[in-house]
Amino acid sequence: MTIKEISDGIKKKKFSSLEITKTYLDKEDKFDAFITRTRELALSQANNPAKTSLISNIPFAAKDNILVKGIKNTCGSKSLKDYIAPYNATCIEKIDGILLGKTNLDEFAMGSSTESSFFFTTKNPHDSERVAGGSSGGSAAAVAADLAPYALASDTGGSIRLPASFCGVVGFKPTYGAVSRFGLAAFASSLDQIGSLTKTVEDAETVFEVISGKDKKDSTSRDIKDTSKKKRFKVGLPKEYFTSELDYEIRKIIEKAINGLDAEKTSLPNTKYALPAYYIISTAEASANLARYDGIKYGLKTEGDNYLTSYLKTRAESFGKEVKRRIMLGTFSLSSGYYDAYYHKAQQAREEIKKDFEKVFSQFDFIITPTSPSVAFKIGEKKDPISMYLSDIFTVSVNLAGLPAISIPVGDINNLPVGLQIIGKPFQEKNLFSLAKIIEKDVKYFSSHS
Amino acid sequence: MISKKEVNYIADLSRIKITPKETEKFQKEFSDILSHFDLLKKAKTNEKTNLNSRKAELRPDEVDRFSGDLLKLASIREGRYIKVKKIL
Repeated sequence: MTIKEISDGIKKKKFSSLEITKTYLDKEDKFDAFITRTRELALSQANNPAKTSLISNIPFAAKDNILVKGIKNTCGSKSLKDYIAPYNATCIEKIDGILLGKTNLDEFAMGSSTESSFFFTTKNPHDSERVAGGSSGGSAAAVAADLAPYALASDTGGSIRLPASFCGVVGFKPTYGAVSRFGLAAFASSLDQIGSLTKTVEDAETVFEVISGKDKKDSTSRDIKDTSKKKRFKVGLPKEYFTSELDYEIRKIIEKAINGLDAEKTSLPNTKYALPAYYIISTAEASANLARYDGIKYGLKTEGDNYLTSYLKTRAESFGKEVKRRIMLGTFSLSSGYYDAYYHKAQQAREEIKKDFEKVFSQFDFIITPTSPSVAFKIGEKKDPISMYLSDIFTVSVNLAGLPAISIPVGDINNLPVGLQIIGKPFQEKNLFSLAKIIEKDVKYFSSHS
Repeated sequence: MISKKEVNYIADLSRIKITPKETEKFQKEFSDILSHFDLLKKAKTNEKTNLNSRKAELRPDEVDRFSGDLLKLASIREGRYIKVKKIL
């Protein structure tokens, strides 16, 4: 069910918050979406729902890198398999809702399929031999299989939008700074953003209304004065996303979905540099952020003979291969002799990518692209790291430029969903939701699949 | 091509102990990934771009009580202290 349907149902006394929560708690998790289900907590919250937010009486799920006080927070990693969060993330405080559980993710949100999770791989509800996407695959599968009305997640390079596209749900990544990141386990701090997975655009808007705004615990957060309320939109279609290599079926579905909009071709010439720039910057930031996992203050600890060997052994034991690979790549690009050629150059390219978007946004209100170059791939299909990294090719630019973007389902290929990405101007989420609703209404994906 | 010596040096800087087998695997993977990243060298970028334009907005530090829950998360403790191996 959607947030709207549950909210209306409770208002009309068709059912209570407790009844609906029990229904969700009793559902079987056939797709391994959850790492932890928080039955006891949910029942105690639903028995006496708070009234602090619009959605306090609605059950929800949260990605297992968003801290909830007193609940295990693993980040999909062996290092934190027994870690109990000592405080709440700001978004959890603001929602003050009914938590159904914590969802699976790639270890420390590093991946595009949940296959790097220490625990298990989440299966795609549309085809259980395929991935749900990543890193927020657990959140996307939970919403797609209706194990939760909505789920919170984080997006560093596409981690909300890619699984939304693969699972046929709405994935929304707000403007960088629109939602506080306090209480989100850091991966790459200049790119990380908390957002949502929902069934409808309206629900995404509702969640955003509740969780957005300035928080003194995150110095990059902002209050939004969004006065955007246009009725007609001019849409740019960047040729770098619609190349001859794009899957023909995906292209057809996207073109059909935007038929009727005022759309024109445009260009973001530095797109080809986005993927290397993203992987250099995000791994560099990750190498610094993950230095905290030393086994001393918290997390897994393996003793060695002395201080240094304890540290080396603890981290060898704590992290899976993808996390090790990224910490080492990041360390490499920040190391003496390579800093200028890799990290510094990537930061400069990031500025050029931002300028590309500014230029296009001086002529267009929105940019529309496919969310992913493919539909959900098979579990185990992508064996080398580069082919996995290429899954993010259409989503990383948005994080580099700090823009808001939403992925909405617009069709299927052999029952596997296809997502359309709308990229908007910074802090103009209202317009973004308006256009997304127009396309959603036109395509009728959700109403025909529920 | 990145050398095995470089891979081990980076692992050391990263404070991750790796096995000789891992060294070999990472050597190959890093060489592939870095050659993919080399595309970036072709990007026309502006040397004058100011990369440190963001101002830090910091709140004042405030003294607050911390809960015992934080200490409980440490694997080795002695009384109210976190215990570590001798550093020097």
